[in-house]
Amino acid sequence: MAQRFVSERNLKFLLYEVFDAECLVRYPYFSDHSRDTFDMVLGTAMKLGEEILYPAFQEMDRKPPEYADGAVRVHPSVKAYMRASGEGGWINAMHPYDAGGQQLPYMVFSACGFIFCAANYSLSVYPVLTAGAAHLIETFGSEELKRAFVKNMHAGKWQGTMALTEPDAGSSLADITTTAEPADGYYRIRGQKIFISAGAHDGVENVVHLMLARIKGAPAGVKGISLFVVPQRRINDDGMLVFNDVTCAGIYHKLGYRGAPITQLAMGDNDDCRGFLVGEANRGLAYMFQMMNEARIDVGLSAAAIASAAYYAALEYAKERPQGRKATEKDPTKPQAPIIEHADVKRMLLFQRSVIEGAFSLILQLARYTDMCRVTDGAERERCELLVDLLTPIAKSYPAEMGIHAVSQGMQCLGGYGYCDEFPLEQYYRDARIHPIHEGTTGIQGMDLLGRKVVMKNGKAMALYFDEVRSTIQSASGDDALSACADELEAALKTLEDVTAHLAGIAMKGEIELFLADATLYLELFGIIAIAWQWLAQARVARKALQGNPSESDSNFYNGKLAAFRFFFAYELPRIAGLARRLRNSDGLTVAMKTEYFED
Amino acid sequence: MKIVVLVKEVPDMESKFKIIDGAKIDESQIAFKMNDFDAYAVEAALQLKEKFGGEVIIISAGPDRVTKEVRQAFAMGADWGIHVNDPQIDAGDNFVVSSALVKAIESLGGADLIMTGVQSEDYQASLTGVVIADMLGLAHCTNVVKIDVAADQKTLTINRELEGGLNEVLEMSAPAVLTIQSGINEPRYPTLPGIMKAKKKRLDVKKAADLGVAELGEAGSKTKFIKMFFPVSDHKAEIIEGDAKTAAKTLVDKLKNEAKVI
Repeated sequence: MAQRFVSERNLKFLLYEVFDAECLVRYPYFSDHSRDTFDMVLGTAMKLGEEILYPAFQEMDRKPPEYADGAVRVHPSVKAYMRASGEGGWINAMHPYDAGGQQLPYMVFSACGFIFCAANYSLSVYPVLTAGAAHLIETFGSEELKRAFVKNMHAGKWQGTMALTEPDAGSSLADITTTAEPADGYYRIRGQKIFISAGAHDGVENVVHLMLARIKGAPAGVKGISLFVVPQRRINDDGMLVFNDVTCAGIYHKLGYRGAPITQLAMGDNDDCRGFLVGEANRGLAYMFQMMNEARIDVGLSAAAIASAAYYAALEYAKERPQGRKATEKDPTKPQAPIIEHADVKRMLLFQRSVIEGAFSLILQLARYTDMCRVTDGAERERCELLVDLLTPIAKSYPAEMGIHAVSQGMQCLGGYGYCDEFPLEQYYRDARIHPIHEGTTGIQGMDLLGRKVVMKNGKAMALYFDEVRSTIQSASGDDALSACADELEAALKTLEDVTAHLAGIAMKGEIELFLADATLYLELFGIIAIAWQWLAQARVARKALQGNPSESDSNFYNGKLAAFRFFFAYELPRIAGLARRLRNSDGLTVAMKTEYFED
Repeated sequence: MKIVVLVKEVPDMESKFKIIDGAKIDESQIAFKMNDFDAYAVEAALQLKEKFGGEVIIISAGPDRVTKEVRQAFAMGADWGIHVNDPQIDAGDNFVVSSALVKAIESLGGADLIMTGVQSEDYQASLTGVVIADMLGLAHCTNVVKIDVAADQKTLTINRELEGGLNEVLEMSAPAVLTIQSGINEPRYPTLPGIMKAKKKRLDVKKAADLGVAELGEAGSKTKFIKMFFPVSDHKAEIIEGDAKTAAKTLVDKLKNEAKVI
């Protein structure tokens, strides 16, 4: 049997039954689409996943990129996949027709992205990075920049990157030191960047960096950061690609996600690196955050997808591995039971499902809001934008953090084999670990949520979010099988309101360090409640479907959904009590801790 | 060139098969897809079209859901198609279905080449191509692994696969029927622009009456279906559990009392 890494049934359940993706075709922008086109797009994504991405999954890990003399050699699949992504129209799939796209809804594209990431996370990132970088140029760049760069990026011939981090400026972008000096129609770039994903490789003809730098004389801090297009090779007057004085100084050797090179770049060693300003000077960080927010949701999606692949590997093993007997079976001559029959293994599998399917549901919820932003205006559009803004740190961090636990439980199902490279679990575990780190660590996400998102527009986004969750609670309350969980979710919302009010009180007193000290815990509390919301929404749909006399396989699917839903409410939601208790206690334990106490 | 490709929808072989009343597969439990061998035929046809121009027409027989596979071929680049959609045809055997497909081909005024997969993944009869060739009075070649069409677009040089790792090379003239073996090419993936265009491509739906098919259902069939079942293996294996002493004792007991061989 071919290795399974996602459930197509679950993707379609979420897309069509929970989020009603088909309703989008009522809007003129999406009216050329239909269920048939969505299914065909998903079917093609599955084929790409099964036939291009997954076959290279293990080999790309075993044979990571090689660096020699400033060049990076990557697995041959990179070239093939970039070409397939470009020729297939995947890199600009969501763009309007007049920009060469297919106006594909973000919801459907997210489901495809989930398939690609689950099949082979390392390989999946190359076109995703390119799409984000090209989108920045299209949104903020001049017509000249668009003409020069976007077409080849959409065709998969040129790689796009996001070049932010420097040796002394990671989470603190205010401290970047790469400089840009105005010259004749361009800027002369000098500096270093590190941790740049796909920053140099031989799977493409050129690499186009969307790079943050400081124009000489710009204000200090984030208000002096500008955005530049800095190609690895620039186009000369004869239309030829020539060296642009961007050198790859090396690649990092990583724990996981080893199929994609993470590079160190040096710009301007020969004083001949040309960068081209995107948009207005000193607005770079604001522009970059457009890409960053998309990238953060993509990180959450990827984390859930890797956990999905780990779950199906664990599930297959659990069904086939006989080990031990039921606790009630005392006869040692009786055959051993497959481990899936043991309650503790079922617990681990249910935990994985509850995390993965809950997290991916939240990702699709955000995708739905994003799609609605495109087809609505006025108050409805603002509502959707605020909800996306508020929930982005959750959609990034919950799958990133809990995905690791889910993969770990998948590994646990395999026992010692899970720890060995004969099975893919150890690779999934290593691949998953990057997600709480890149595109803004979990700590940064917590501060973003509590320090910025919760209070933005005088708490308007939070109020809208509570309305959304309460609407789901209300619709589930009439079902006897769901009403108890609906009540629990209402109580959880009240806890969140109470904790938020308590922390806001600290902020009002000006104790900002204390206010943000446990922002990560606040993020965790918020995340658990958001996933519970998604499970209640899914359970409502599953309950309704079961009343319609479904086929045996559908009945098993919906009952499985309800089991995972009940599991989340029974095992995961109660965790908020401990978090809330700590968050209400503002003793400032970590703030008061002295550095010297850590010495021994 | 005017090329017809016959495409069949088959169950995804990863599905869990369940037989209802010993007569048919429970279709509510399975997913369907394009027959893999037919995908190679579609690709071969598209490559010839790219070289010589012309059109690729997809013909498929089956219920409503078959349109999904036809549009899949459209998304790959086929131009238009005919969907033979009549339960009376579906209820017949290979002869009935082939008769309907022949009528559909005739409704086009014939074709330069007619291609289909060497077999379907589910029934594995390998009949459709050869039966159609016979009904149309055309030359045919099975197990095709290479097609060279001369500049006159009439002379075909065909490699066909034999057992034992052999190939043979034949020359024949169009119009002809070719049944395509897997591995002849790499079927292209539908592109997203291709998928969007596929929705708008012409797909004519034809009933038996539209095509003038007289042989229908069981009455028109040349074979009579009796039953469908999962074969039960006569060979049994049993793993005897327990420590060596207990297992040896159990084995002796079974050899004496169950197998009665000692």
